[in-house]
Amino acid sequence: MGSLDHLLAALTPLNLLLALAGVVAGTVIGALPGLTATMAVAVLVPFTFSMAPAAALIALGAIYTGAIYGGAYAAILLNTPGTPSAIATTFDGYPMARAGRGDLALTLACLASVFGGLVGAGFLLLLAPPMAAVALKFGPVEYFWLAVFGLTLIASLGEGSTVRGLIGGCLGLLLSMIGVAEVGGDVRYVGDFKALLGGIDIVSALIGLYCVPVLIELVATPVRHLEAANQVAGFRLREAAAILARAKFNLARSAVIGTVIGILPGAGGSIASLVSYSEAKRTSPRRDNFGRGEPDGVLATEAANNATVGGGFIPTLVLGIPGTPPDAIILGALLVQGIRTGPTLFTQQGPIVYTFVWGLILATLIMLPVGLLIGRFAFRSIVAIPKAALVPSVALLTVLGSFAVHNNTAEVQQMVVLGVAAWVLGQLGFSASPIVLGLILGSIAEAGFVQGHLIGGAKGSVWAEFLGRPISQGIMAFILLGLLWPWWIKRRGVPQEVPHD
Amino acid sequence: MTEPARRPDLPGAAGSALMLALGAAALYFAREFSDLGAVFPRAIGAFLVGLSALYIVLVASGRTRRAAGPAGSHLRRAGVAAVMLGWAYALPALGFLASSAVAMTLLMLLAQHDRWTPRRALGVGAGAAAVLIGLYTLFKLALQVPLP
Repeated sequence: MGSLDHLLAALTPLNLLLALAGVVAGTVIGALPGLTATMAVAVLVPFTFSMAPAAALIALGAIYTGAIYGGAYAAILLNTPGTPSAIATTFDGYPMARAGRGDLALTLACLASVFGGLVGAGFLLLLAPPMAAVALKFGPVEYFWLAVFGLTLIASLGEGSTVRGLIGGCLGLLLSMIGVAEVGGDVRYVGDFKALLGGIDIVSALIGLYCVPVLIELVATPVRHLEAANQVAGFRLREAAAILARAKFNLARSAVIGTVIGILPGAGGSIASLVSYSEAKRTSPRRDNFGRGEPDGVLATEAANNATVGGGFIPTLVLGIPGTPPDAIILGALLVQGIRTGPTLFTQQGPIVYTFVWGLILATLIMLPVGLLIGRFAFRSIVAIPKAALVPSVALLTVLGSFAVHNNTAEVQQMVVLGVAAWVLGQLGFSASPIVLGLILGSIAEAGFVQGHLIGGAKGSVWAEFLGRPISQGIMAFILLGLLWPWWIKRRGVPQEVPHD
Repeated sequence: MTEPARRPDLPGAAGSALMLALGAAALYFAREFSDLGAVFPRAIGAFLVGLSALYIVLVASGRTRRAAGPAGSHLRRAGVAAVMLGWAYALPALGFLASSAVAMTLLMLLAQHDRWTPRRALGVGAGAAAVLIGLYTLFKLALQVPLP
């Protein structure tokens, strides 16, 4: 059975319908703050148990890819990432929306997501086994350096002050330590609040840190919350295509970063989007525009987070190790279907796997018209809704979203307390993004550091363990490059491009 | 456009002082942890103390610029914060529908700057009620989330 046969098998009316329904359902769920891609897949997975294996996989892949993309809507229009993968989309997406370019940001997010999704699926189709083997070489030390690489982005998120950004990052790292330690089992910084034993939930924290300050500021003045796009009709596709053509290297690099990070078990879309954003900013001639509505920022994060879908399936299918949390649920669904994942999957059950990969590619392509249409509807709706209706509705979503993660009212309280604290800190000049970055990367950095420390101690040299491994050295080189590049550019006096906003 | 007057970042210094205290507290409580569990808290707590002290020094030496304060009503801002906190803590006792109905009504009043007309009140109120009932139905019945 050749590639054409697998493509034709994926093109049955039922599979196309499932891909369409999956993309729509995933996009809508992903757009709601608090409802993650993991939840979208988990909620809808029982519907696939009675389907044929390939059809079930296509439906789940479509839901997953739609949910990752859907997270961009709330990120761009409400400054609240619909899913953790869309954190970095808020950095430039929301400023674009505030400046009356929200429709363009949504179109760019859609195009970049489709591109990233196709690149990830392409890697899955062509390079799955060798890339999975590379992923196995990542140990705790490599994860530690990867987290440090993500943390270097803090330096650029301080909104005018690197020191303030680093202080915010340290606060996020401290927040990530609350609860039972992953290594060692110490109960840390919980006090008498038993609800904190499980730590601070990332999704609830994200909703609170990003959304509550926006709600508080929305009511303060009577001015419109978002500017409507003036004198521009349609999807602004021509404008978006021109930006895409200019940013082709950024797109390609971000999609590859997303795929590679997706392959790493446990890393996922949030880290992929942060790392690709950092790289896009570092290499851009308009780096001073980042954080103020730079389209390249939206392109980088959305291409990367959707590329993690295909990337994450590589270790899931080849090794039986889920690359991302939704992959873990899909892995469970595969076992229910009687499919044993592993190195022989592509040879023994090739028709199912290759039909699924083609189905994923088709679902990603379907995301283009679906995403553009939903994006336009979402933008017009959010712009037209009066504040008196928007504020309580968004507030309701924050409460529902933070409760629905673990059905726990304590997490709603955490969300609001963190949100109010973020607003107070914002008034003192500390932005939320470095805090979020520290919170997300803290557990990965700590687990990698402590495990690496233990392994190095057992081997006789902690320094050799941390500094002597080739992959670690490669990541360290990128860290140094990321830190020193802006300084070097500044010293050389390379002129910045004139802001086009 | 003229450059705004350079003023010391006193709010930033106040925030840094708060962070310095948090870092010191993190270091203090890290004494109770095992060696393995204390490595990271100690490192990050020390970084937080050092960076906060550095920022205070930068403010004192006049090397920072204070951002312009936000415009608008502080009373409304405080109102939203109070309503959200009240909502979160009343949720277990009052239940989802009752607490949400009260909180959403208060937020509606806080967010409306123009004069209320019967038509506007009806439109906004009906819209918010539809969102509440719609999302309640979606989460409770379709997604099987056990709302309180």
